[in-house]
Amino acid sequence: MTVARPREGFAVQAGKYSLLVVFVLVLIIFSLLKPSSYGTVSNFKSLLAINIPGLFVALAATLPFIVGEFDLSVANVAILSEVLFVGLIELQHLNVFLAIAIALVAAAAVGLINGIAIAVFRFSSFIVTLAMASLVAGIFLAYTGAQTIYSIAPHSMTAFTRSSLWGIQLPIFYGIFVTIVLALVLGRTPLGRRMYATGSNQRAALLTGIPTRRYVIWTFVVGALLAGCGGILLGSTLGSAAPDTSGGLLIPAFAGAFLGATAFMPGRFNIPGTFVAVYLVAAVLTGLDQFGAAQWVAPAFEGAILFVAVILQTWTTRARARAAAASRLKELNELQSADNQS
Amino acid sequence: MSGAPISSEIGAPALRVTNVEKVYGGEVALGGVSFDVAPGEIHGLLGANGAGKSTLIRIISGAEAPNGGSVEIFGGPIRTSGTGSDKGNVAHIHQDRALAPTLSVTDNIAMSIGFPTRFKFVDRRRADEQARAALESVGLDIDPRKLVAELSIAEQTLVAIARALASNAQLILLDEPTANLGADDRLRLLERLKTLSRQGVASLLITHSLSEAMSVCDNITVLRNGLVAETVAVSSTDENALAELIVGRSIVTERTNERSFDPATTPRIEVRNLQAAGIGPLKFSLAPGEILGITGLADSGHQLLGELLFGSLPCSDVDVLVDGEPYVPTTPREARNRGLGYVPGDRLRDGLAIDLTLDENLFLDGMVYGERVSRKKERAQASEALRTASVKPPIPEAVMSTLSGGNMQKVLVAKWLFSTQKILILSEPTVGVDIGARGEIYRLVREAREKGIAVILASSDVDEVSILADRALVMQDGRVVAEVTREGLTPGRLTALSSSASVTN
Repeated sequence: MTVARPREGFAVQAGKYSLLVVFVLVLIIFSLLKPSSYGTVSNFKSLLAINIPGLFVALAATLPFIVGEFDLSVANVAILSEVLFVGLIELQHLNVFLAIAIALVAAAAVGLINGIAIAVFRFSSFIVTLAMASLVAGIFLAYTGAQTIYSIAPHSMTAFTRSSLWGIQLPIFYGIFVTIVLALVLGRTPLGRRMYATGSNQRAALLTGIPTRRYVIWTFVVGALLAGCGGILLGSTLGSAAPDTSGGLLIPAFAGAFLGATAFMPGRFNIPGTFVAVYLVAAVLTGLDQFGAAQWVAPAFEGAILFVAVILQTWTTRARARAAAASRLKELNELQSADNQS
Repeated sequence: MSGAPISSEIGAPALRVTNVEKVYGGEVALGGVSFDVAPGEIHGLLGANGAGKSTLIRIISGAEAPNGGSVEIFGGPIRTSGTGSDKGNVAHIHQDRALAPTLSVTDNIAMSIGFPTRFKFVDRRRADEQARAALESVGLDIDPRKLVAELSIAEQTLVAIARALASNAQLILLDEPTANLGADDRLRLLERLKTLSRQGVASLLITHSLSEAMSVCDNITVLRNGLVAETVAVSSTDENALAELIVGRSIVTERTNERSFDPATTPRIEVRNLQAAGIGPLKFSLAPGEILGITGLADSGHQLLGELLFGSLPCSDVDVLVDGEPYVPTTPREARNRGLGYVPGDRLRDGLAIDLTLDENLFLDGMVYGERVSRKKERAQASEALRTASVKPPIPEAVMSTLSGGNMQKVLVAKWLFSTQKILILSEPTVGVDIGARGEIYRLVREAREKGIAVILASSDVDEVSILADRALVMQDGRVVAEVTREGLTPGRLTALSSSASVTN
């Protein structure tokens, strides 16, 4: 009689860690297939380091989802910051700190405009951020003249990403630090609870005394800042900045957010989930790369992952609802038998 | 298009439910349910949330197949259809009426019975005529070119019924058609249903209101835990007997105990003046531990009071004292900080974070009674609150969407009740809540009163106000038309005062 419920409950429980398990399996399988190139500490380190900018953009994409919105402009904001950071140092000869500051202010400004348009004027986040993405692309194309900026310049530009501490590249520290801080804030503090409440039912949150508008605006600003950081790290690592309008950063970021929503807190966008998802996708792509995958493989794979992740995310939510429905019926059943006994 | 049902078999009942069983994943939702509805009969279907009403309705409307037993409509099978499609013989009038609000009445009706055309183009005039004819069948005299959104909820329900009848539905399933209606609209709608039944239309009415069932139904089937508790003729039962059938034990509908309030104490909240669009000027005050009922018809303004005082709707002029200190409602946050709590009437829209857990809903802003505590402590506190409020299941990690309506409402009340708030505004606290849960919610409200919380009970349910309140105000068109003291608090008097044109105390 009661077989169905525990099984579905187990499925939901297992679902929490399945992404992590898949991630570890991917690492093991590729390591076994390519023990000399894939299964090495240096490969894992570089896998971790190279994808830190992408991680930042994925985290930037995750935050608006938590408050019930989304931001299609994160990728272009990252590129804007990258281009400004490299360009201001290389072309305008500003010092590194000033360049970073200006690149971040620009990113935050975009986030602020998005946030205000969405939270105060109640425009659809789809249209607002899509428009903003294009506007931002226009700005960075104008600034660069559509040319890649190469730096011949100061070591200071690349110092904070190309150096290592205890044999570990600095970007890894930045990425893990930011991930932990965000995970703690969202999962363990009243602020995080209020953001999830806003995302679940904005009116209910408002009528509980949560200033939801302010939260939505700040979420967009912080999201844009994270994207900006991702862009700066990318520029610094590469020592150059390409005004890329291909949207190559956006799809993996969204795939990471959605795939991450199937893990740890199934059905909910969450930071640890995004972290694991970003590296799962990266681990697979790095592996395929070592098998000499053609250029079309990466975008196709990322698109497929996003597609599958959306389906999985919907499924986990439904599975949870089903498990709950089954437990309600069971309760009803118990009531009935209790009633019959009395 | 007349409303008379076409019998497919002479003498067959309009609806015959025979031994219907439904099992979900090994769990019994319906354990063999049987009853008949005669042509022209209004048959009530009552039961607590979770008793199997919705499952049964889904089966009768053809949305789901039973695991055992059969359902016959006038001796024939159910012809399944989408809501209001022209092929079905059963029309399920959903709570949300399933109308397209931004289209006209004409278009809504034509959507299911077809657009009359002329040279392949829609013939507007004939479409309007067809709509008018359909509306006539339910006695509704409105311009069919009006948008559905412009109609009152009662009118929308009638339009949905008219559409169903026009598409030859032989049985109408009404799912709580009077929820969210004021007393006046409620009466009008029920009158229309009676008229339709005299014309031979059979309907199955689901309701939580016993008085409504008693006043309009011929027979009533009470479901309990997936079984028929009993099918009774209205002529041979009364509300208390029905209530007992529903909960399976006798329930008390006793009034809140009497208490005297010293006029010299500072009122917990004193509204010296409150005005907003279409509301006011209002003036009232509450002592600590007093329950003030505010009632009226649906559009009388009492339902807006909560949002006005809680700062989520703007007041044009306001002069309020909380514990003797001036309070200006600006934002819900300010209201909360000043010790107000608000349980909104539309819990799905305004109250619940449906995909979050119970403890997250209880402590939606992340603070536990004003303090930051560990996750573990929060769970423990939530568990205690859920037990005290007898929420089922009392599991903090359960997701809100898995609860029944009554239990959701208990969580919402508990959310404010156990906090340190001093003033609680409840808007329609038991709409769509079964009798068992209703009793629990009343108990919680009385506990709040014992703690010295001042409770503003804004409710269209006159039974509720007369049982629960110490005192009541009756509103009409945004103004208070009468103040009723404890001695005068009866449902009859409140109803009379709500709808009377000239008010005499």
